[in-house]
Amino acid sequence: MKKLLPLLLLFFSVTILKAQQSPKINIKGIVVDTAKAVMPFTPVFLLQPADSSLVTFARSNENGEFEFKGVKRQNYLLKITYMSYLPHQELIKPNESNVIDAGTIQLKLLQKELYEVVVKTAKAPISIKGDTVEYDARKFKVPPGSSVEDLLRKLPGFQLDSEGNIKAQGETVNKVFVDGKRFFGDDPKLATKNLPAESINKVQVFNDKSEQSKLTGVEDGKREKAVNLELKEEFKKGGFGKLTAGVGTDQRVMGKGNYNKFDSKNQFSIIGFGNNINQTGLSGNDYEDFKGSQSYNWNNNADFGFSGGMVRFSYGSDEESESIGVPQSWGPGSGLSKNYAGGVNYNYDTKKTKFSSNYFYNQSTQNLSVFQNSQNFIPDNSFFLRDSSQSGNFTANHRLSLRFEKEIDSLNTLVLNFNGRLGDRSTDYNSMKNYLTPGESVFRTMKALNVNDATTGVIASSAIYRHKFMKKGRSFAASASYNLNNIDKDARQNSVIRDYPVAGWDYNIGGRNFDIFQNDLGLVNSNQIKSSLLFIEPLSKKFNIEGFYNFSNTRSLVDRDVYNLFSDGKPRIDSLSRYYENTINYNRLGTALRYNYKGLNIALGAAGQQFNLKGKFYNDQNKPLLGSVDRKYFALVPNSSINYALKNNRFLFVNYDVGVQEPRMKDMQPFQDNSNPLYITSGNPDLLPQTTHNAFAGFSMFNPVSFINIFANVNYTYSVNQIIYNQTIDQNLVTYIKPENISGGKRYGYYFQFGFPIKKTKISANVSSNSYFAQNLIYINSKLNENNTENYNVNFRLDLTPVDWFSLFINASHGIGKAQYSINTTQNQRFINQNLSANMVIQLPKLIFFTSDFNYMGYKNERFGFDQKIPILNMAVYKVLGKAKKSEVRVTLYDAFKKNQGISQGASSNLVSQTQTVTLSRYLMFTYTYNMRGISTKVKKNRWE
Amino acid sequence: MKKYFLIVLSLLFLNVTKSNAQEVFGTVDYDYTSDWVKIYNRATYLTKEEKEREAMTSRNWTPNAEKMKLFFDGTGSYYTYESQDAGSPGGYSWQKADYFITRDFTTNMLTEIHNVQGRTFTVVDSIRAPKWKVLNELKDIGGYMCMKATTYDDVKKQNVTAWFCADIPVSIGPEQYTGLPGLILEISVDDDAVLITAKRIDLKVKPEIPKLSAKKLKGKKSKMADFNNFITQHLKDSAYKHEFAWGLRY
Repeated sequence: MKKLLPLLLLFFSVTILKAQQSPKINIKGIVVDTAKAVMPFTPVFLLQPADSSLVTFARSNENGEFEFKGVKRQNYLLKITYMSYLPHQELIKPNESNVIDAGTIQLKLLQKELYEVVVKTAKAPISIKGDTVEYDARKFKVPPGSSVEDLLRKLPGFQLDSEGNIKAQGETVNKVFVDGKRFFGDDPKLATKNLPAESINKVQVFNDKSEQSKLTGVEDGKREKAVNLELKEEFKKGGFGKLTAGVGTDQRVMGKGNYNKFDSKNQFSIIGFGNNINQTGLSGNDYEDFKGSQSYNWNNNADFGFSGGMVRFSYGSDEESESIGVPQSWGPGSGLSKNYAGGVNYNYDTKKTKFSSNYFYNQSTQNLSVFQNSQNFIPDNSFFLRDSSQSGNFTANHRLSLRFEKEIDSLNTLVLNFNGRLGDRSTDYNSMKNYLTPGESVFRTMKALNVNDATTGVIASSAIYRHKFMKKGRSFAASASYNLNNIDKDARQNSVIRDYPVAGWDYNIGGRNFDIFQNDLGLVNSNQIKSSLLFIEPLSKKFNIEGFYNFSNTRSLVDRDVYNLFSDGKPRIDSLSRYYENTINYNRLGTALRYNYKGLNIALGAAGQQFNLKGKFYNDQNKPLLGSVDRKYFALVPNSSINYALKNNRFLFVNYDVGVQEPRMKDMQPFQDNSNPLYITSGNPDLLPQTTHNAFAGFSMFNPVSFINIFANVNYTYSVNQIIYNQTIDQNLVTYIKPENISGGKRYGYYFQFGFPIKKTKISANVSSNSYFAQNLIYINSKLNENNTENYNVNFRLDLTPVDWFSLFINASHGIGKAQYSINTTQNQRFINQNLSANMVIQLPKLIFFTSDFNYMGYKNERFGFDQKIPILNMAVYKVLGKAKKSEVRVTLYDAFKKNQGISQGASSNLVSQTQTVTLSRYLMFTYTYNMRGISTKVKKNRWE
Repeated sequence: MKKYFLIVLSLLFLNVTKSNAQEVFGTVDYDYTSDWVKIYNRATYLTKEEKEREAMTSRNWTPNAEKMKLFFDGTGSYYTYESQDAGSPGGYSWQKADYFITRDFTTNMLTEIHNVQGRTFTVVDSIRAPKWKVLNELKDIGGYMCMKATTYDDVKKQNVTAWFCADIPVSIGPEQYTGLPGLILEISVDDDAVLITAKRIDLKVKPEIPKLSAKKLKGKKSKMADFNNFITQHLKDSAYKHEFAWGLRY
């Protein structure tokens, strides 16, 4: 400052020395109040008249005087403001002289009512535009359901009579505008009586030209008081929708559409689709449009304490994979299917109450033709199995979902959840299996024809209550859940097995008859009641302790009646029929100590958990007891984790926990299940729960500025009392399975990823590698087989985004798998999986786009002579139409090389197989889309877009 | 550089006239609230459909507030996080990046420390104010009558609204905002995408203005223009890659 002063002095002296009409002027004046008393220390500003830009500011001295020295010679807006005074504003036009005297400026008191009521009490900003005053109406509280009329009654400066006639600032208001537009008709009361108060953002009072002058364009100088109601942005009602229809070669068709309507509290949406191109569920975007604000919900977890370790509960039967909630799909389904679905969703959201409901129906008719080749290893020998099957599956599901969340007050919250599904499923299955010797001679055939009808009823529901105490950090939560799974099945099974003598091959079924022709009626009913409690107590700013308790009671009833259809009287087959009931009671009590400070989060805890498994097994309801199970297990499980959030998006984490899982009741039934005569399973009532020790450590960093990212982790799992399915294969090639416990199975691996730009924003690369090593133990014909698996994968990605109109994403991976068997080292094998994929987008002129997806997969297994190479190419050209860019026409060519054969291969302890499923192959499709919200006209620059 | 309006002169006037008045000092606690839906909706590379979908699916999310603190007296000011430790009791704790904004009115210099994803900028430069427009709107914040002023941030491409109290004659505010004829008690960036509001204003106790430690001030010093160029480039790169410009203080 001191250095500047001489400079300024010099500057001023120079200007004074200059001629009369100096380019710099001084502006001065005196500020006084209504009583003409001087106002000291009052802020005075100079603004640009054009846009109110601040030029400079000063403050009056103790005598109320102010002076701006040496400001540019031009027009200014002089502005003076002081607490509880109306801001004064006047235009200063420089005259000949170098000192402009604004004279004595008298500040007017802000209408006391306005300042006290609007600014002070309602905390609402007011805006003064000449003689117009505007309020922020949101700050004036009126009871819910009030009309604009009720709101206006509250606003200072407004007077409303009993009929609702409006006077503003003493004058009658004849016109009410809504968002600047005339509301229906001339009666201003139409708007004020009918619009809800909560829809209003701002209320503006202004002087409008008379209708006469508007019509003629001739200014008649008459002014009428008018009110404008500005609607809240979020209250503006909206609607959007999207429709897509397509036809293609091979009679391929698809159609889908959705429509949404919403306002600030309500959302209503409807969606429907139908196709024969294997799209069975909603895409991620369609799902979000359908469920809106209720797409994702937290606070739904009713199991408090350490995650996992609860009693498992399955929904639906083993064959079906239908979700409980609205089905989503990621990629096309297998086989060939016709699909229809539709649903409605309604959400109601306010700050304190959230309600969501939806109904969804879907049905699918699927045709599956599957060819499977496998090689099965038996002690000292092997055989081939060629299986060709066709099945027709029909599924239909009705889903209902309800969710209610209420913030009772700032300390109490309640969440209620209900999900239900009612499903029908029927299957028509026929297959022909050929068993071949290593010399490829057929020695056995099996022909099967099964028809299956099942209805499924599923419920998953919960209630969660959370309470926060006045003491900061102390909280309590309680939950209760009810889950139900009911399956009613009617199956008809027919299979015929024939043996053919082959010289030198003696694995025959001999004189035994394995043929089946039976009716299987099965009912499975499981229900689960659960409850959890949680209490968190802060010990200090950095430490807190939690305690939790979980309880569950799971009851299952299985009633299976099998009838022999070979005989006329259809007698019940007692050896296959079963009736059993079982109950699993589960209790867990645990605690954890947590430390959270400066990015370091440590949790140490332990829980004691107890299972009580009880089961009773009968041939039929009224038959004598066949056997029973009554076992209790107790385990103490530790749980610990360290998460360290370092600066700059770097994280370090280490976890160790122990999981204990109870044996499945199915595995504990004390008798044989010979429903498949070639594959007989028996239960083991002495099974112990399986204990798994898991350790996990990792590091991650992500730098959004340099676009460099690193992820690395290592994991280790060790099993104690692992439940494995030991096999005994007899001379007839009948396999007997028995579950037993074994310790020593383990699995460990790593993952590493490094992503970096080669040329920032234009070319980036990503290198990753992961490997895992596993040791699985199994007894085959009472001999311990140690199966060691090694798996190595490397992956390389290149993202090329050089210009706005072009992007190319390349991915290449190479994987090597090794399997080694201790009892039969000749089975040792090595697989190679290779993949190369490329995704390209090009924007051509006139909003025409070209995209292509290429995917090459190679499978190799030298020992079995597999060498499969599958290239799949999809291409599309589309054009966005119209000024508003709301329409799109698209031509898509799927699987240009006609190579999509649904191939998969696998290897397990004593089996190598390759499966091929007839599925959607090459077709050309023409689609038209209309999107009310517009079609995207950008080229993706990110692999995941 | 040109986009900023140098107000050395006006500050001089302020100081000259203010010498008549008593010294102004105090501590202000601000709540810094980010509305992620609004912030995300500004992304230029998103289509209308994507923005509306995002707004619809996350309309029930409640933004959470960060606690900030401003200390000032006649000689300078200091602004940073209220505490290094964030998070509610028992909640997950994160670490804050370095962020210190200081002003020295005696030399008209600013010293700021910004940590953007591993790069620390120690900015030392003269104080420059954005070009404010003062509007005719009044509102009350914490018992103080405030006037509205607006500006456009050409670096971050944001519309900024400030509510300043002309009766607290000190030309500072939260974050980097400065240059109004009174203390800024509220800042709204892009229609409340970020809202910084004074929650507690204490003008009675003269605070000890914290000083930046020598350790923190070690290393290369940058000019404000260097830091702004870095931000401009990062915003441009992120938009090109269709990525949100993570790592920046909005």
